[in-house]
Amino acid sequence: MPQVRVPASRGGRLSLAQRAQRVRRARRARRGGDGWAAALCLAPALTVIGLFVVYPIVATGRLSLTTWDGASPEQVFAGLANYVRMAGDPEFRNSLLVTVLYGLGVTVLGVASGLGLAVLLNAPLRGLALYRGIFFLPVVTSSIAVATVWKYLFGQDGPMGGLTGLNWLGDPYLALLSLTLLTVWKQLGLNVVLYLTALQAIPPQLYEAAALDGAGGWQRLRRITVPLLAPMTFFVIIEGLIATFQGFDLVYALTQGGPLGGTEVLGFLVYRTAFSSGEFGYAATIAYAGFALVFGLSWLQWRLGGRSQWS
Amino acid sequence: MRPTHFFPLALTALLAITACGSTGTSTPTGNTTELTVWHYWDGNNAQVFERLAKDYERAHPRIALKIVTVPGADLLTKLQTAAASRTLPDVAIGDLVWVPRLAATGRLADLKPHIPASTWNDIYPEMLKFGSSGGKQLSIPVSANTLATMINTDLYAKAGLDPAKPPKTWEELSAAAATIKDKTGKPGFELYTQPGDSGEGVTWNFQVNLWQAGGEFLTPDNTKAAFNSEAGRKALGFWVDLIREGASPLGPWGAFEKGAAASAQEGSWMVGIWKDKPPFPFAAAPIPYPADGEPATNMGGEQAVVFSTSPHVKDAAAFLGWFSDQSLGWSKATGFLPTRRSVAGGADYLGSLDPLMKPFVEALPTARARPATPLYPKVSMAFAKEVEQAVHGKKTVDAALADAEREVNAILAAG
Amino acid sequence: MVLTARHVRPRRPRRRDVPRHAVLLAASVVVVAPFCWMVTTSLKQFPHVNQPPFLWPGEFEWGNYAEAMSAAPFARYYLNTAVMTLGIVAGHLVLDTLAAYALARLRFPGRNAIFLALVATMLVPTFLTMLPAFDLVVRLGWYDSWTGLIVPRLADAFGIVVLRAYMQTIPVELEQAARVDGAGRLRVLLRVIVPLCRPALATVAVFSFLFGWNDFLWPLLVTSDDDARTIQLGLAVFTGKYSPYPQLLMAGTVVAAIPAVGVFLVLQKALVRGLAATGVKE
Repeated sequence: MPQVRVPASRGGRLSLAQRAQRVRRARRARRGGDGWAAALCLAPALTVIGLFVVYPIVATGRLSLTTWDGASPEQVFAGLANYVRMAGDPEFRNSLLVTVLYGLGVTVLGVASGLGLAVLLNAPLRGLALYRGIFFLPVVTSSIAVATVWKYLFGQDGPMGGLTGLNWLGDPYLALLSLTLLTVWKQLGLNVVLYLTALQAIPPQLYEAAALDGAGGWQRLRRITVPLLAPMTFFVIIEGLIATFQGFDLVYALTQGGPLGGTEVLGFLVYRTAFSSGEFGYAATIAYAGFALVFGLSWLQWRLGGRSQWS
Repeated sequence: MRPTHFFPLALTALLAITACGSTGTSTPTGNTTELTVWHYWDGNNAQVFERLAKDYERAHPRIALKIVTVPGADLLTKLQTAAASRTLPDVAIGDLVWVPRLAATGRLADLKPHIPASTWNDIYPEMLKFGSSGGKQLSIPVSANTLATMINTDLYAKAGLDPAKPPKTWEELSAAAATIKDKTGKPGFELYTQPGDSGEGVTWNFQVNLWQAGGEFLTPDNTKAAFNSEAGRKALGFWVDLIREGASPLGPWGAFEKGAAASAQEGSWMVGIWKDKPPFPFAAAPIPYPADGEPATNMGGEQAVVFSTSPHVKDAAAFLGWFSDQSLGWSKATGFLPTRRSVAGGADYLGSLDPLMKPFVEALPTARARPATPLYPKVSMAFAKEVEQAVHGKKTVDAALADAEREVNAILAAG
Repeated sequence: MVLTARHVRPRRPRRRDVPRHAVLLAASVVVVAPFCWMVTTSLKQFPHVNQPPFLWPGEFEWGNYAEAMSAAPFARYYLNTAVMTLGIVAGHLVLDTLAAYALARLRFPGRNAIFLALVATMLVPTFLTMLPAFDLVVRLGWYDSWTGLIVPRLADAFGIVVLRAYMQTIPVELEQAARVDGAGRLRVLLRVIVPLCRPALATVAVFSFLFGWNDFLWPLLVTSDDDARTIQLGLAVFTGKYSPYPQLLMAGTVVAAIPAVGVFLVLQKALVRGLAATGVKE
C-alpha cells in the first residue's frame, strides 16, 4: 500500500520578530484588540443583515406561536399549539420525507456529477473553457425560466415523455425524480467549477510521490483526491441542502408540489400553507422546523469533517 | 470588461444610487383625488379596462385612476402582505372566492349605501352572496364566467366525430373519448387532477359534475360537508372511470391547451384569450351531464372591493358603480359574461354574441357558485387532495369521499 | 481512468483525450439540449411549435421576439433590474469586504461567534424572513422604490464568507509591512488587501449579479408599480399568459436570460480564479 506523505503544516519555527509580534497581538486581543476598527467595519453589513434577516427570524418565531391568518389586525397567541399540530400532521410528515429524499438525491448526484466532470476537466484539454461555460449555463438562467422549459420537455407529450413512454409529471416518484434531475442539472456547473478549482489546488507533488510508490489511478483518487477535496465536498453538500430545503421556485414552476404530494418540499408547503390556506402562524412553524433541520444537518456535516473549511 | 475595473465601477454606481433615492411616485396635485386600483387582468382585458378608466377620468376630472396589474395568483399574496402592513390600494379586483377571506380581515368598506339599489337588484343574487355580510355589501361583482366544454375540432375530425354534435351525456362522452383514444392515440377529455397550490382547479371543476348528479358541496349554512352522497359517489366514480379507461391523462393541467387532448372543461375567458390567435381550431359546447341528471355549471368571476383604509371610499364606490353600469360594453369587448341580468337577457348583448360564447352564456341560468365562506380555500385544498387519491387509485371512491368529509367537517368546525 | 495525468506526464497524445471528450460532449448535450429547445421554439412559427426539429432552428420567426417584447414594458423592466442588480453588487462588494476584513484580520471578542452566526443566516429560508422584512420596508417608506429593492440586500453572508476565506490566504506579512510604514487600517485595506482580493471580489460580484438578476419573490412583494418592476416579474406575467403559445413564452424567456448569460461569459475566467482561491485552504 503506497504511503502518501502530506507536507507538514507551516510554522514550526518562528523568528524572534515573529514571536514578538504574536505576543503583542495576543496582549492586544486580551484588551479587546481592534475592537473599534472591527466595529466600524462590521457595522454596515451587520446592520443590514440584522435588520432584514435576524430581526425577521425572531419576529417569525413569535408568529409561529400565533394563529395569525396573514391579514387580521390581531394575532391570537396560541402557545405551542402549532408545534403540537405539526407533530401529528401527515402533510408535514410527507413533506419532510419528500424533502429528505430530494436533498439526498440532489447532494449525492450533485457531488458525483460535479466531481466526475471536474476530474475529466482537470487536465489540459482542447475546449476546456467551452465545456466549463456550457456546464455553467443553467446556473445563470433563472429558475422560473428553466423550470418552464423542463415542464414542456417532461410533459407526457413532450420529448422526454415521448422518448421514454413514461408519465414523468403524473407519477409522484417520477415527478420527484424529475425535480431532482432538474435541480442537479441547474447546479451542475457550479459544482463542476467548485471541484475543478479545488482539484487544481492539490499540489502535484502528492500525485508524483504516489505514482512513484506505484499507486494506480483509483488509489490516487481514493487516497489523495477525495480526502483533500473534503472541505469542498462539505461546501457542495451544504449548498445542495440549502437549495433543497429552501427550494421553492423550481417546485412552484415545475410541479406545484404534486402529484399526490410527491414533490411537496418544505419550502412549497410553507408557501401553500401561508398564502393559499391563509395560515401564517402554522406556516411559520413549518418554516422553523425546516430551518432547524437544515441547521442540524449542516452542523452534523461540520462536525463530521468539513470543519477545516471554516477554521 | 476585466474584473479589475469592476470594483471602482460598482462603487460609483452605489454612490449614484444612494444619491438619487427612490423612483418618483406620482402625487396628486391640487384637488385631484387619486384612486389606486389593483387587478390581475392582462392582455386585451387589461387594455379595455384601462380604456374605461380613461373614459371615467374624462367624465370626472376630479378623479385620477391609477390602474396596476398584478399577475394572477400573486395578487392575493400581495393583498395579504399589503393588508398586514398598511399598503393597501383603494380598490382591488380579484377572484370572487377571495372576497369572504378579505372580508374576514375587517378591512373592507360597505358599498351598499354608495351604489343605487337598482344596480344591486339587477346583479345575479348568486354572485352577491360572496360580499354580503350582516346587511352590508362588501364587494360588487364586475365580471362573470362559466365553464363549458371546449373541443379541439381537428382531433374530433381526425377521430371521425362531428365537432358540431358533441357528446350531450356522460355516457356519450365516455364513448366519444374511447373513439378518440382509438383513432388518434390522444385522450378525449382532460380532467383537472392535480391540486397544485390551492386545490381549486380540481374542486371547482368537480363541483359541476356533483351538481349535475344532483349533489351539494356543503350544507346551505356552510357548516358541514354534503358531498359524501350518492351523487358525490357517482361524480367521483365518473372521474375515476375516465382516468382508468385512458380517456383522461393523469398529469399537470394543460394537455388540452397544448393540443394533446381532444376536449376539456374550460372557462369562458379562454374564448377571449384565444380569439385572435387560436392554437388550434376549437368549438364550445354545453357540459355533458348524466342521462338521469340535470345540466349545471360553475359560475366564477371577479369582484371589486374597496378597503376601509382608503380615504376615498365614497369616490371609489362611485367609480365601481359606474363600472358596473358599463356591463354591456365591458362584456362585449372582453368576453366576460355580464353580471347584470338586464344585460345578459337583452337583445343588444345576445345579438352581437360570438357563437363560441353561446354555450357559456346559455349556461348562466343553470349556473351555481361556490360556497361563500372564508374557510373555502382550506376546504377546497383538503377536498382536492382526496379526489387526487381516488383518481390515482390510492383510495376507493367511497373511502376518498369519507375521508374528505371528515377533513372538511373538521376545518369547518374549527372555524 | 488516469486522474491527474497532467502532473505525472505533462505531454501526452491527443488520441487519449477521445474518451474524455466523449463523456464531456455527452454531458454538454444534456446540459445544452433544453436551451436549444428553448431557442428553437422561440423561433418557430405558431402552427409548428409542437413539430420537429426541436433542437436546431429550422425557421427564424423573429417576429415572436417583437411580439413578446411588446407584451410588457421590457425596457423599463431591464432598467429597473439593472439598477437593482448593480446596487446589490456594489453593496456586497463594499459592505461584505469591510465585514470580511474585520473577521479575517482584526482581533476582537466574539469574532468567531459573529462569523458562525453569519454562516447560520445562509441557511435561513426566505419564507422565514419574508413577512417581517417586508413589513419593515413598508414602515421605512421604501415600498415601490429602488431603495426597497436594494437596501435590504446590500450585504450578505455568502460574500463575507468567500471574501474572508480569500483574505486569510493573503500573507499577514504584506499587511504588517504596510503598517510598519505607518499606513492606517483603512489604507491597508484599500491599498493592500482589496487589490489582492480581485479574484474573490469578481466571484462575489458574479454571484451577487446572478442573485439580483434572477430574484423573483422579493421584487414581487415590494413593488406594485410597473415603473418599479423587474424582468423576472415580467417573465412571470408571461408564463401565466402565454402557456398555450410556447414560441412567445420561450422568446420572453430568452430575452430575460441573455444578460445573465452575457455577464457570466465576460467574467467567467475571473469567477473561476476567485473560486479557485477561496474554495481550498492552503
